[in-house]
Amino acid sequence: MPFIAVIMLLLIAVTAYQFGLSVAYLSRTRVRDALDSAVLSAASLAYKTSSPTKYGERRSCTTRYDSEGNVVSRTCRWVKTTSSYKDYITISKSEAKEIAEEYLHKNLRISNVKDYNVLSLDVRFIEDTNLVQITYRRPHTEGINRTYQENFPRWIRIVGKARVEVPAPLGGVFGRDRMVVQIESESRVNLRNIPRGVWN
Amino acid sequence: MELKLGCNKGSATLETAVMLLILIIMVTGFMFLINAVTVYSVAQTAAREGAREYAITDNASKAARKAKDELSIGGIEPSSAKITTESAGRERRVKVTIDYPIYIPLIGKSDIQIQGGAVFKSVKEVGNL
Repeated sequence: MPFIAVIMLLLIAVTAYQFGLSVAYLSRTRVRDALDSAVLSAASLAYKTSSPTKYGERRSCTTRYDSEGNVVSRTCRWVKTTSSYKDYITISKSEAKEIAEEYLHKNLRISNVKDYNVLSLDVRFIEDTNLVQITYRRPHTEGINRTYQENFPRWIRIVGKARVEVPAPLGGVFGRDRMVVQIESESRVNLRNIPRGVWN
Repeated sequence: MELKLGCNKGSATLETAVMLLILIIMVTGFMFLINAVTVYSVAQTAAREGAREYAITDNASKAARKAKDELSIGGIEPSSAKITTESAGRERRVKVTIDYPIYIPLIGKSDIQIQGGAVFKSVKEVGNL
């Protein structure tokens, strides 16, 4: 009899422990999924744009004729020009952070995580370093004649790190009825057809 | 008939029988609980992957197919699950609901509804970068 009672007690303890572990694992999975969704949603704000790599100027002349076709006046002026546009990716960092936070909460709610508390959500942006030589020659209009380098990122990596406090069922036995889940997730958006070796 | 007070004969057998019954109920319940956790995990993964597909492709049928594929990988018959896709603005949402039957001796059989869900912001434009 005592043997069966001991086995029963052990079984109850193991079952409770397993239950607690299972629920803790589920909570962790839910937070991980929510953060994954949040980071990808933040990445959705990235967009492709382009910027000139050559800034110049050209002379533009306007000639006025009279009714007989004789030149009345001829005025010339310098007009600013831009050329050799290059594509790159950009993102509004403040908006992306807001979206990440919004979708973290939305996904935690849709996953039925009860009584959670987001302790911190850190979103970092890592951009590709793709320096391009910019030629800026506008001596007549702006008095500038120089070259410099500017970054035209081909990809942006968004790294999210969240610390979420969730209830820990049966955790009271071990003196803690809440636990903190810390998860990191990342997402990357890139231009198409970028050459190999740029995934740093 | 003579009544023997204080006789314990047979009581051990009775107690063992009762305990074994409780033991069987507990073990069965625990098995179903662990399986339910697995089913939930699969449902959640299917919903997440479906929502991700929906956000990237903006195609509800592709999202549902992806969710079904994930259910199959997780060992759940896709026809036993209800997959719903919703879109509002740029928000793409997928829910996977599975009716999971639980049987506990003496208590009986009942269905519990296990639901996984995920919501993503559409990245269709990003996919065309």
